[in-house]
Amino acid sequence: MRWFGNFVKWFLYITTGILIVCGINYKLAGIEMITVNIFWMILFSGFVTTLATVLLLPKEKDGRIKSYIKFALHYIALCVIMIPLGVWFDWIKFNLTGIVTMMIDVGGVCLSSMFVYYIIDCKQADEINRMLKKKYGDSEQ
Amino acid sequence: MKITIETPKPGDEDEVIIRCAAMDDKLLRLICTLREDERLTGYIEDKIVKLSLKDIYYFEAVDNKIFAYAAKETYEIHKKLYEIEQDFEHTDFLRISKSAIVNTSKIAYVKPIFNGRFEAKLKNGEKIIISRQYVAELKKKIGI
Repeated sequence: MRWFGNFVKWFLYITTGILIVCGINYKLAGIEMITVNIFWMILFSGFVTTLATVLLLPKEKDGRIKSYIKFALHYIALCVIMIPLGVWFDWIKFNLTGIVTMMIDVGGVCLSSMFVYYIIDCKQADEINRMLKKKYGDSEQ
Repeated sequence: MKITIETPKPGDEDEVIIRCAAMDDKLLRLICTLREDERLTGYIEDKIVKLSLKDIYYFEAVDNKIFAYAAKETYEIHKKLYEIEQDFEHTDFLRISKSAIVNTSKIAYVKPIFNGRFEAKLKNGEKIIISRQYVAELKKKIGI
């Protein structure tokens, strides 16, 4: 159940990230008209990359170096997934510019998702700190 | 709430019995207060020390041994971590990872850290990791 909860949470963050990146890219490319299919493309990309994220992101028990390695592997896996998907969905052309664009986009989605995750954790920590202060005060016992 | 005080028979241990339909915050606080003075046997070098619960910041399992950390000293405890968790369930002590139980009254603040975990800075300056899976329990314990 916890795994599923984690999956849903990451799916929301990642899909929102992909939606924003798509919006920016379409705007920059000057595309004014899009089809309904774009939503299914975004949802499908979100689903596949969330699966990779949940499976590959470092676990709590992983040490610092192992975590960095897993972060790198996670990013590579996302690029490997998203480049063919990008070509299939006609988001990029299969050339150097297209690949680099997708790698930057994947990086952007990763960073924005992790930033949102961190912000939510900060909010949770603030709430805990407020209650700790209320319950025990500041004094050293 | 009805309060009854009885005098024990000579030689009997003092005992507090709480008869209630359900535990509420008021009762939990009462239990915490009663257990604050409870003592635990700690071992440091070749000495045996009676430790007061309220002086302990956290318990940690290291290499199959359990240690109790006070403000400055560290004592070995001859109990399992799960026994400590059960014994002090209704006090300020709470399991925060597979290997640690913290006295929530000794937490100065918590903050999120790398890898989805939280870190608790204790009032003696020490830092201890809170596993993500125990954050919900911590929130429940302090009334969120």
